[in-house]
Amino acid sequence: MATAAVNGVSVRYGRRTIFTDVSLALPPGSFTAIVGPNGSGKSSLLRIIARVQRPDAGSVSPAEGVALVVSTVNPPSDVTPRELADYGLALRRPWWRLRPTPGDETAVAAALARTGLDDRADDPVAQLSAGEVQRAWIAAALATSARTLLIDEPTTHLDLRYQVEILDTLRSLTASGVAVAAAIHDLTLAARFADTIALLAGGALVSGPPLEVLEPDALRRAFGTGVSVHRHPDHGYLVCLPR
Amino acid sequence: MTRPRHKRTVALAALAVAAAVAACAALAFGSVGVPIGALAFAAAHPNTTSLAHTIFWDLRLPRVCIAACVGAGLGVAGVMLQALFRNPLVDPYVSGVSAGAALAATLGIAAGMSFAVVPAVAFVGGLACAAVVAILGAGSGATGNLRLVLAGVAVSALCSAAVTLVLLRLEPSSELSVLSWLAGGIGGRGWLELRWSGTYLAVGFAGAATLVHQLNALRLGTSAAAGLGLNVDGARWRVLSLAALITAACVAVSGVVGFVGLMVPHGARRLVGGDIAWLLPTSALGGAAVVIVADALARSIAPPTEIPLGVLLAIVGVPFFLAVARRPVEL
Repeated sequence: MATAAVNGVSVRYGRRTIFTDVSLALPPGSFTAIVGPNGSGKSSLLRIIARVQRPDAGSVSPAEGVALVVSTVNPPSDVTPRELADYGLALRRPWWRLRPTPGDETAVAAALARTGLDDRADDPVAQLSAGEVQRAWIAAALATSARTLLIDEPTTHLDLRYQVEILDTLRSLTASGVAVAAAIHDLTLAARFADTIALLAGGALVSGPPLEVLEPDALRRAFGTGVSVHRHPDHGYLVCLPR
Repeated sequence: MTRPRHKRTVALAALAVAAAVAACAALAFGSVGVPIGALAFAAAHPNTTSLAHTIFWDLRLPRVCIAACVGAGLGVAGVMLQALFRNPLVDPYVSGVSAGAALAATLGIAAGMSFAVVPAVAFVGGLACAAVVAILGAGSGATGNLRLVLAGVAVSALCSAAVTLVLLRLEPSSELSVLSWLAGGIGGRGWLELRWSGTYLAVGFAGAATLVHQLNALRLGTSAAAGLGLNVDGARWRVLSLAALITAACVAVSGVVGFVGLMVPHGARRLVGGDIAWLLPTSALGGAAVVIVADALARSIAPPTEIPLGVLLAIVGVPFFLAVARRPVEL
């Protein structure tokens, strides 16, 4: 299975360099949390991996099976998760095939099941919770047989329960070999759910296991404020708090 | 709410019947009273000569067909552009087509061109202006369409200023011709205009049918659509150029007929929901019915004077526009 990766990519907006010579690989079954201060280029990096944006330098691989979930916009309120999940597939059908093929219907049903939306599949999104809408977006990406799922700020605007629900959903996808990369602001949640942390700050990227990357000095340099990092006494995962 | 499939089919069929009834009524009634029996005879015998024959074959039938084409065209272009811009207040003229066509037609009339040529000149002017808008608005990437909207507004304002400048320097008789063209209407158009604008519309409609999936994806927003695999820049060009072609074909034959491209997609959306596959045919039929009825009224309310079609539709359209702006509207 191909690993989505970027090699030595750089991004500039006008004269401002966002990051240079960034490399990151997303192996199958991995969960990578991209963290870093505002404006460090997390969203740009996701768009580059998804080939929605061209880097100013460097290379991106592969072209197929990568979907970017942009869930900050609400879908039209009359759309159902089943319809939403078919929109990406529909782009891959010939124009005269307006209805989903039997194969597409199976893929949509499977994607809805994997995101736990089977029983809400035909309700308009206006009647769904914020977490369910988020999962419907993820289902739309999964239905296209994406093997690499990129998601920008999946927990924004969600309360704690839905944050955990979405991250649990993403985590469960990695068990079937899907590579997940999510831009996340909450360092503790990132450490709790991801196996790799990619810290993007000051124009450079450092990636590795949470314990290696989420290190107080590095975080202070990245965010410009003191961060204390503790291990949870019972569960062992990292807890990051501002000083 | 998502409508069940059979309800949408019923709505579409009902609209087709309504358009057909409107067409029959528009053929049967007009400023000149002709017995319906005589019209029916003329309709069944195309090779006879009589007043009823002339009225049916040379005046009313082409006019009803043009009204249907213009209404369907503006309805379809409205759906396409509202989906592209994710803005329910966008109408086909945001592409700059009407402003360009108006300027070209004004210059054509000012230069003394015959009225047979003016629609063709307007068509070319409309497309040229849409191209300028598209070029100025290019490069928005997957981030949005704001630059495109601004370019449309700016170029349209420039064209309007130029039209005013030309109008001020015209002879009163030419000025009247320009004003009546700008007000919109189908009076005096015949088979020739129908033939060539119909050809462009057929191309535009066929093209629009191939964009259903892309338009549905664009309803989610350009970023989300790009994330699902849509080449947003390519789709934007296709939608914009086909909508401009359709609108230019309409404007060239009818002048600037406002509000149809804005009102009809909203009505259609309330009938069949937002799915583009249903919305395009529904909006086409709805637009055809609206313009057929409006044109019949425009020529029948105060004969022999014709109320400009654009004026009549604006009188209905403005309250509708205000109501739309006040209520939450879905795409």
